[in-house]
Amino acid sequence: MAASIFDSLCEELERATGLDRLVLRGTVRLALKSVGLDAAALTKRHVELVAEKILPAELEKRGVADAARLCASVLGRIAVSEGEGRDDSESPDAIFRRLAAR
Amino acid sequence: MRRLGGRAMLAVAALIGSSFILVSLVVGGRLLLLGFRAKRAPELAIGLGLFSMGGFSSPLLVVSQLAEGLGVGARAGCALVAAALMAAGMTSLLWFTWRVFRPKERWARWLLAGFAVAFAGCVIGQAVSPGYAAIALKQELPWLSYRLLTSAALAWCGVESLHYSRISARRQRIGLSDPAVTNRFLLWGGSTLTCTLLTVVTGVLDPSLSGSLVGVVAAAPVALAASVSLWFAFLPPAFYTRWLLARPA
Repeated sequence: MAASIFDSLCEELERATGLDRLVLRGTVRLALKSVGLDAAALTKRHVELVAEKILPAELEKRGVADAARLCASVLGRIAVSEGEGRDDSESPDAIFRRLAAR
Repeated sequence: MRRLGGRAMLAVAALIGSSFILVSLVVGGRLLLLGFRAKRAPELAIGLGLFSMGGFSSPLLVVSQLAEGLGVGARAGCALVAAALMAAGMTSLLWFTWRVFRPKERWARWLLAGFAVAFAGCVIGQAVSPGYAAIALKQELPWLSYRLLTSAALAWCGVESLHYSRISARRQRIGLSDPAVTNRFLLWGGSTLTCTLLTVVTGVLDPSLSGSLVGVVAAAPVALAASVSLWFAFLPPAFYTRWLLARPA
């Protein structure tokens, strides 16, 4: 089975930061949770935004230096499977957006 | 003269308070239509909840308790239908809350099931004792557990939405959400928590307030606030959406 975009992100970050696998995955999960994202339904756009705007601060809290540059360099190496994470139509945001549709 | 002034005040306050019924019917009806057209369960659930609970259950209960011209049987029937609609509407809103905010959490599924069973138990149990005729004639109150259940259910709906509004605000800051949607969580949460406050005060803390001049006058602005929140959440006027989108993040 192909690795998910979440696995791919974690593996690349693990390699780049040298952080323990469990710590790293927990850190990424917390970063995703803070903006209501589910690791199983990530899109590349989600990962780009989280890696640019949330993860650097979380990684720096765990002693990773120059985390912003590191996250940017990791983004280019993430593998995204065909069709992955495309169905966002049942997220709270998508549902609440529909509720006021004209 | 003083009595006339009191009656006028009561009538105005009751009219303002009943705005919630009208808004529930309009917004709930619209969401139901949206759900039918798109065949989407969340839209149907919230629409059904507002339509049956805010739109029909509350006025039916008032009719059952105030329509002295009706026979006792008819009034008891109205009270029974009001309680059944309240239970069905609340369960529908709870299902919406679980489905939107906690679809993967096992505890939330159990909580939803617990609420549904408890509501059904209350509706059936109240028919046995004290009986819907006694409730309609205001000789007895509905069960305390039924009144507490309604408050707790509304509170869960409100708290989940307010909690997600904070997450949505963070999403907005990184470009994953827009201000109108973030604000919708806030308004829906605010509206349901306002209703929670009303049900706690008039249903649990001091049921004698319900129907009294003081109670109706005090409840009117609170009900109006809930109505406006509901309206602006799901039928936002264009000027309001423009204002939200123009605000700095």
